[in-house]
Amino acid sequence: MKIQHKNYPHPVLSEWSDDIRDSVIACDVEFRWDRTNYYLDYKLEVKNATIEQLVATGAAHFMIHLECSRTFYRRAIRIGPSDGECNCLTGTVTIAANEIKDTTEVSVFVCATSAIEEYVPVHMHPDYAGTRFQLENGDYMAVWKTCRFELFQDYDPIRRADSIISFRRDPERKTGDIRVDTGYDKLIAWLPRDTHELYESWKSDKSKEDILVTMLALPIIIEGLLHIKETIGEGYESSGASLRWYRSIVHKLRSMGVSDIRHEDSMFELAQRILESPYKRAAIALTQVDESEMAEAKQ
Amino acid sequence: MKLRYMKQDCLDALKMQDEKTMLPLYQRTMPFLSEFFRPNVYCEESKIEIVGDINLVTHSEGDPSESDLENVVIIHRLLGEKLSRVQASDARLWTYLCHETYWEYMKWRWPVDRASIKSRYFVNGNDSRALSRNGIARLWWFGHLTYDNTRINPYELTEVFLWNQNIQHNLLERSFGRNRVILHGVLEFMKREADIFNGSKAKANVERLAKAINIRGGVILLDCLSKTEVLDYLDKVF
Repeated sequence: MKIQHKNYPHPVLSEWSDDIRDSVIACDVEFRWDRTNYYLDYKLEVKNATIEQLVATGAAHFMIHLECSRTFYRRAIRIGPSDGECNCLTGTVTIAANEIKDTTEVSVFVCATSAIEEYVPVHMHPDYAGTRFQLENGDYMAVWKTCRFELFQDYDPIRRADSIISFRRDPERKTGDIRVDTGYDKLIAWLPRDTHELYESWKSDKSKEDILVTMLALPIIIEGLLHIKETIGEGYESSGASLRWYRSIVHKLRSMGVSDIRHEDSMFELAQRILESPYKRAAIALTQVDESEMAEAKQ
Repeated sequence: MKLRYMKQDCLDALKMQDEKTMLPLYQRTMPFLSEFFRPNVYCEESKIEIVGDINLVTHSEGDPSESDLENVVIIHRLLGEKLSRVQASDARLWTYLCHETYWEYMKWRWPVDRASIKSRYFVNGNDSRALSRNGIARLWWFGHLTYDNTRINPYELTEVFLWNQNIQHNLLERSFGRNRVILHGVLEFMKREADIFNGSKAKANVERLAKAINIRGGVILLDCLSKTEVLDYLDKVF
């Protein structure tokens, strides 16, 4: 659900209209998750005496509306006041991890949940003076906005570099350099035939996994970061956001506290942070490979 | 028998192929994946155990779409409870089923041309609309969204939903169709007014109904409504 900036047949409190003045609807919503659930932490606040009173009596409720475009999930959760607090509610909504994934929209409203005769909110625009409104179940009284979240259960580039990078054999080249394609759901690394053969023989060996990540995944992540940096807009909005690798890296950047990649100087350093010290891990892996080879030689 | 799915790399590789080049493969009688990916393994086994007859109806006297109800019921009985929403939105599963297990059905129900390969044999896109177009995913989702175990015939609303593709298109391509209460209310209304929605002016009337719900959704949060309130509203506007 995307909230449109529009006019309603009755006064509605929102950030963009002056239907109801000197009043506030302000919310804060954030997702946490573990393997089984998503947890939506919320803080919902409304400052308007009439609406507060209607929430207190149960004639109106805060509604958190969740919609996942991927899994046909759409649900409105009614949030009631507790402990006498009517203008500021905090809490958590739990959603099973197998219900939603990827892009999920969260909108917050205050809606009438029963018929309200003669609705006349305080601080109503003078144009409405003398008018009394009749609200029905579901009528919007206050509208906040829609927030989009990208939810992933499985993204962990340290363990799952292959979840965003695909190494392919380039059928047109026998030898040469690796090419990277950023236009698909995964970052595609086109390996010429000779390199692909080496890659295939190495990837089945778990002891060499960290070395491979450093050799191949790291530069490809850098390429991806450069692409994001060049195409990004405010709030990581971009046409590339429809691609899985793009959303995964942006998600990781956000979790690392990188709010705007355009202010970052070194993509090389950023890629190392994403992959969590790949050089160190590769060095350890090399030492272990070396030690096991020496042990074999002694036998 | 365990449910299988395609390996992500193989799915990506297959999806990247040029449709013109691939068309002859899709016109074959037998599935082509094993040959296409040889010697690599292109699928994996999930932990989901399936029991019962997995075959879909691949013949009917009339239009192949007339078999949809029967096949929705087969897929829903086979997988309805086994899959979560997240699993049922996984492109790897449906692509495998379209290209292997249900190859014969796919070729019969969705004869291939260049345009249909991406939309019917793959999950082409990141939203639920892509699932409602995939040849097998649509059968699961149609069953999942319309199944109502409070009815004597739990597939009663499924039948209404499958009367014609305009209904599926108009109800699922608008986001209110994702809300089960609204969807079931609308389908119940259609069933009650079958002459309007299953007759000669069905297309225009289905569109009019979908627009009416959308307009109502502009001023109220539709998700607050009970099924009775959805029916009352439709009674007023129709």
